[in-house]
Amino acid sequence: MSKVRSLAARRDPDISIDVTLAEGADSPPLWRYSIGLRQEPRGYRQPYLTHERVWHQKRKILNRPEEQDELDRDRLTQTFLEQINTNSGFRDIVRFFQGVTYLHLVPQLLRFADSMQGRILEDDPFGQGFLERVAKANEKTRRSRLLIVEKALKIAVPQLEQLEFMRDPVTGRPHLQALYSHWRPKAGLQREDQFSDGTLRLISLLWSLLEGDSLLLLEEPELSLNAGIVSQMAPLIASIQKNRRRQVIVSTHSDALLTEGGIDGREVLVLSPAIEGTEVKVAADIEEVKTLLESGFTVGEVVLPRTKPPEAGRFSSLE
Amino acid sequence: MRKTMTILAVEDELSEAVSRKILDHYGLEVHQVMGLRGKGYLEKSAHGLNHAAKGLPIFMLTDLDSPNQCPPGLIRSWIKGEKHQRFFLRVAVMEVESMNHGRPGRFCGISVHTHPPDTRKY
Repeated sequence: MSKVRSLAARRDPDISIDVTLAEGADSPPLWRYSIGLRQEPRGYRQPYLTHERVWHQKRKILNRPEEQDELDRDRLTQTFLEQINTNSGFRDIVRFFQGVTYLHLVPQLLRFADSMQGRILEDDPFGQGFLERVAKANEKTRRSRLLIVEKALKIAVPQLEQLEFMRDPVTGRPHLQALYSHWRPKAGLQREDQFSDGTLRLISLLWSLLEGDSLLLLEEPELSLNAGIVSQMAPLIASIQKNRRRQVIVSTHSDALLTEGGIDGREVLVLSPAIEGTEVKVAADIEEVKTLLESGFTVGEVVLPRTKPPEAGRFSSLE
Repeated sequence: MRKTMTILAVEDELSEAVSRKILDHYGLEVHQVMGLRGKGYLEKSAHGLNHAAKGLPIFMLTDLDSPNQCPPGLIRSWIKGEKHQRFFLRVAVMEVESMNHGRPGRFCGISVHTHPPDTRKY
């Protein structure tokens, strides 16, 4: 609990999470799930629920603590959401949470996966088992996804000519192999351990965008990539979304990523540290931001300067 | 009393510091800084900021840089149209740095000894 509580909170804070699900940004809410957590002040210091509520459209269908929770306080150490017997009335919410994918591929973990033999975390957020995921897709799907990835890579990495999936003939492990144009005709084949960080991150990003239709969380997808490619990332995500309706939430510090004029100020959340905790505001709700966006400025030009630390100018003159 | 909200557009950190001091003196509060990407960006943005001034007052400070141009000429060529009354485009002759001498320098609390002399000679 100490890791998720707000640093600005007073003693024994309630931690609340409130999620609203709708078909689109302008559609009415379909589901709402709200949960409150607290830690026992003594004893085993177990986390327990202060509330758990579910709404379907506007009707409240669950409101805990119920009478039985008051009689048996141990019930409050478990949510109804996580139990099949109790979540049958709102299984859509369960499926939504189960489908959420977080991706922050660390190229070195993928490149040296064999030699490190490290433990892979649940849901593989750092992409150690990315090649296994590619291998698990059925052949036809894999081929069609890799063709799209290859098409995009050819633009970002002009020397790359062909990208294909293969298994090592000796160990049977899955690999990606790319053919790079070279003056020596047979020297251009390289495996993923020789790909650049940017190439590996771009492959995993594109694959994940094509992989499913649930919520995808991308952390700083601009890392290791040329600004020219990063500036095209927002339209690329939007064009892939058209067919798959995969909602994507991106965190970024990149000016290039936010230069696309089509980014709607209503889709951007500005996180600003303040004394009473980080303030989160919808960019379009900030009057001066709204005015500037309406006058043709991009989110990158308007919103990013707001997130700059006030003393950043002194960073280069520490002595 | 609540201060008036202003958008500031400048070419660098030095101009930002000087502008903030000026705006503070007139009871204006900076809510948004635009630019900090050199003079070319300000020139490109002037037309859009003039449009945005319909919503909020905007203060832009730039350097004249060259004796071959005059401030009113620079303002006309940047805005390309009618200037909105709440768009304040001010031009430092020749550089914001030259404000360290004389009254502007005293206003900003800058010592005459910490900066180069008259920038017109450079």
